[in-house]
Amino acid sequence: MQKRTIIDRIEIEPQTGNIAVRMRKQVVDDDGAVLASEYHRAMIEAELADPAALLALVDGHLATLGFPAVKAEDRAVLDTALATFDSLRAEKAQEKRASAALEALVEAQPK
Amino acid sequence: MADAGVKTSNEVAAAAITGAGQTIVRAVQGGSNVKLTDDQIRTWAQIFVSLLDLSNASAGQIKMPASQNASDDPNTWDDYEEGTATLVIAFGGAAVGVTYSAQTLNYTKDGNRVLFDGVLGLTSNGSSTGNATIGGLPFTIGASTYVPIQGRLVNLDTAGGRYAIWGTLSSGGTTITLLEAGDNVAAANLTEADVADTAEFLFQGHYRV
Repeated sequence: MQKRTIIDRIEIEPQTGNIAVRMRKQVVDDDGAVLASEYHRAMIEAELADPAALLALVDGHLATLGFPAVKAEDRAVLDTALATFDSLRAEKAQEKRASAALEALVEAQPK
Repeated sequence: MADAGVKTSNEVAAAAITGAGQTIVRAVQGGSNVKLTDDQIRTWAQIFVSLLDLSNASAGQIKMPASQNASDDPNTWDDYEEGTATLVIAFGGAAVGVTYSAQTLNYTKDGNRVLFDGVLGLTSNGSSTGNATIGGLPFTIGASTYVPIQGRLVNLDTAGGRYAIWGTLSSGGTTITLLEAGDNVAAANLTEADVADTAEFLFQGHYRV
């Protein structure tokens, strides 16, 4: 019997530039049959400068929950997705920063 | 020749329409040549036009797809998921040297709403400075809202007569911005100066995706 963490889904959100990662924390028997499976999620927001640091935190958190880090092959797929959508993330991050700056200006106006 | 006491899929559909005034059995059959007994037909028809009874010991569950089949119909239940997520704190968007004693968020997504509870505990608040945020909500926020940050708050030092803490959830993000408020005093962002090395936040709330 062993535990493993696999990436189940990678969801690209074109409107926000966020990338949602759904993992499965699984317990499998010696024949590979899944005995238990729970979801674990992490969201890589468009403006996050260092996704690798966040994913390292997630791996550390998984360890405290008794599960290993995300499977290397799955992590490679995620890294590819991040690289592929890097320009989308940058564009949406810029939009969010502009929107936040505008909101701050409106807030600062005398009521 | 057809077996006595059983019906083909077309006959099932016809029987359901005749007997219960519903066409849903036709859709369930999907045109395949499945045969059911009259008793099974009567049971099905009863389920679809009256109480949906899942109390049978071998059932009692409704399973949704692993990937949402989204519906715009406000009367259609189209998603359910349970899981955990990793919470992270940041000050001014950074979290240099922060370490945790707890950082688990539990969530249930039910249709277009996410219900969550979380515990974020620190063993060091690190060296970053600025406004405090908690990241790690499992789904992008669809509509801005507020959640009370309540329950057990440990080793926080709110300033200027402020005694209540709430979180702002902004549309398009997955982060809770922490604010402090009080009576007759303007709300302010919680910062690293308010959060001790061993601070703990316990909170729960919900938001629309």
